[in-house]
Amino acid sequence: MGEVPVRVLTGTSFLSMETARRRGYHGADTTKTPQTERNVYDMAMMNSVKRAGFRALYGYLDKDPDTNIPKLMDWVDRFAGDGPNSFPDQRAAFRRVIENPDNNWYRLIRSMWTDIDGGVRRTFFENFMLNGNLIGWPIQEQARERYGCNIPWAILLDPTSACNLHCTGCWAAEYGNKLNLSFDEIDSIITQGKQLGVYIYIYTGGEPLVRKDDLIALCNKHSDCEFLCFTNATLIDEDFADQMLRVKNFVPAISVEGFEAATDGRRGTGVFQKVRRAMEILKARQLPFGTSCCYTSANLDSISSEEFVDQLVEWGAKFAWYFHYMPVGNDAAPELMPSPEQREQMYARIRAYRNSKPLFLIDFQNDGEYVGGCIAGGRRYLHINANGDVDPCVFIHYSDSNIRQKSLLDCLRSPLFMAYHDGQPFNENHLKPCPMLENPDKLREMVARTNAASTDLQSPESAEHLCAKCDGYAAAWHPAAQRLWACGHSREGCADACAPRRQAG
Amino acid sequence: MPKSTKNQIMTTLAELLQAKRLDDITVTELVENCGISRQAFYYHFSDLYGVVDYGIQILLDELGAARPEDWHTAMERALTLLREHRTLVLNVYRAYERSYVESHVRRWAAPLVGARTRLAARSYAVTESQIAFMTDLLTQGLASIVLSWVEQGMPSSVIERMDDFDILVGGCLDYTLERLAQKNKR
Ligand code: SF4
Repeated sequence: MGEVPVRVLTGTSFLSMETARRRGYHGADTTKTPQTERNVYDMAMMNSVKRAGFRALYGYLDKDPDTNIPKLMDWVDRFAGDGPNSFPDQRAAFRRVIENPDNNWYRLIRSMWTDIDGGVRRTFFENFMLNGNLIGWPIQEQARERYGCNIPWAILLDPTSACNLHCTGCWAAEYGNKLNLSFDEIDSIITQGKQLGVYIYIYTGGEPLVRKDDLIALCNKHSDCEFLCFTNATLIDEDFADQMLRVKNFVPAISVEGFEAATDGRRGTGVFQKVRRAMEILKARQLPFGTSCCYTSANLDSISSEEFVDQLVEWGAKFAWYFHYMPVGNDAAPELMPSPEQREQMYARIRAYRNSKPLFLIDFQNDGEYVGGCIAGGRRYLHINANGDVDPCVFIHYSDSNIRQKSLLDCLRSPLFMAYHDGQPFNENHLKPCPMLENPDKLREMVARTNAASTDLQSPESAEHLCAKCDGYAAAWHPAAQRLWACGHSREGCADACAPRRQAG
Repeated sequence: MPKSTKNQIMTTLAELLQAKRLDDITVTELVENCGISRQAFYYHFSDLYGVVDYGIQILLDELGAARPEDWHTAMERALTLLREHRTLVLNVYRAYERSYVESHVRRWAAPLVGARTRLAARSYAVTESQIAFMTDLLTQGLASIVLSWVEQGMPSSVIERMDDFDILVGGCLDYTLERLAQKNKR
């Protein structure tokens, strides 16, 4: 990679929280956000109040979780009051959960105290909950209003296109293994992100842990952020786990394909055992981790089975992310897309597990209702590949911006990202959230209008070629999506036939 | 290998601190002087303050644990050592808030002072909370002496007076502990 001008904001121009604290500033980390002087002051004040309140609350929980977790809602109720925006129903639901020790969510929360290292747990609460949400969100909101564009909640980026495995059909391998974002480039992305209120960074790739030393260095430098990492886990060894324990803000999401035969079949013999070993290493150090699974027409039944989900819990996973197979790339296999019946099965199963298993499950294609539909294009996240191309989504490889040429904010204001901004939600039915998969005409139109180019460096695919693979799928999924949506969101149109399923879910 | 990189970073920072205040030094400047990459720096430390913390830890390890009866000799040794690196210490000190340094000095001094108090308290019937109270007060006194000393430019006369300070503390402890024990009897 040649010398490219990178907007590197050095550490001295931006106070990390820890530095600010040492110097006696409180909440000074927000002073660089785009605001007026007055706002800066107000926000810094608000943040120190939030920080102090949050720490007091955390200290209270930490002292005696068994007694104090159930009492958590007493605090919340006192703060929330009974105004119209005080979410009374949600609070009541949450209260039912945390006052019942047998409830799966209670068990999951409680396990944060029995299974996770104290320092790592505290850092997670501070970086993810406090900085990533309570403090980051208002900064994001201000920037949204000020710049009139999407501002993300998380940034996904590929440190490298290299991978140590050669799995069949891996979508990330398309980039080949020659591309890398340098340490300074990633540092600059994070520094710019924090100025917009983004404290959550998610590595994908390639295999990000090919660059493990740089990732640890970034965790250390941005100790106020939470880092998540999609990984095949085969590079997690004792030394790396020790470094994770030292920096405290790195959480792996380990790709699993199913049981041993399925995993080794796709990734190579012995990989499953290496993954198990990595989980053991993490568990021994009380480090949190989750899993990620891509569901296809071939493996859906197995990786959504209760047996498999129980296995994930037993292995020690705290979260499980499920991704729908996307027919992306010239050599994709559209027959691997789940059938409508299969997708509906996934919908029902994940919802049922969410009411019974101590595991935080997300199905990215079926959970649009919780996040208002498509979250890409910077609405909640964006993706930067190892070539610096800024894609709207990890699955949508079209772009009109490169982080090596533009600031993060300018990428968010590019025509393609503004098309996402103006077009979202792409469908009122959040079971059909995607401008590619369920609404392929939307992506065709946006790419054509903005002249976005394919960022697939190995084999550029036209939007027409990609979207044509989704037309049939979208039409086939439509009736089920309408029925499920009506069923979940209004009584009208809800056929009696789905009543039992609703109970199960 | 990692250990030596860490030490190399610390030594380079110490050199830079001979000429500049900590908050005028950048990581980029440090790594250039050190001949390592920025990522190598950040692999070990979050920022320059982290290097200072590491340096302080090494210093404390070097000083080692002191016996309670020798606490003032330990203080003397620590202050002498700090004075030997006067420019560096002042260049670091000026980059911090006083309250932050104070809390650190107190954290370091509390066990030492606590042990000394406990030693004196052996012959008196006083409660744990009374011992804690005395320890706290004396630690605060000691911390402010140390901080004022630094702010005055670390004159050697204060180090020489550590013996007198010990006498003061000893007398103070005996007198107070005796009064407390009497009060407890009543
Ligand atoms: S573009 Fe499609 S896959 Fe990407 S976030 Fe939006 S809905 Fe999901």
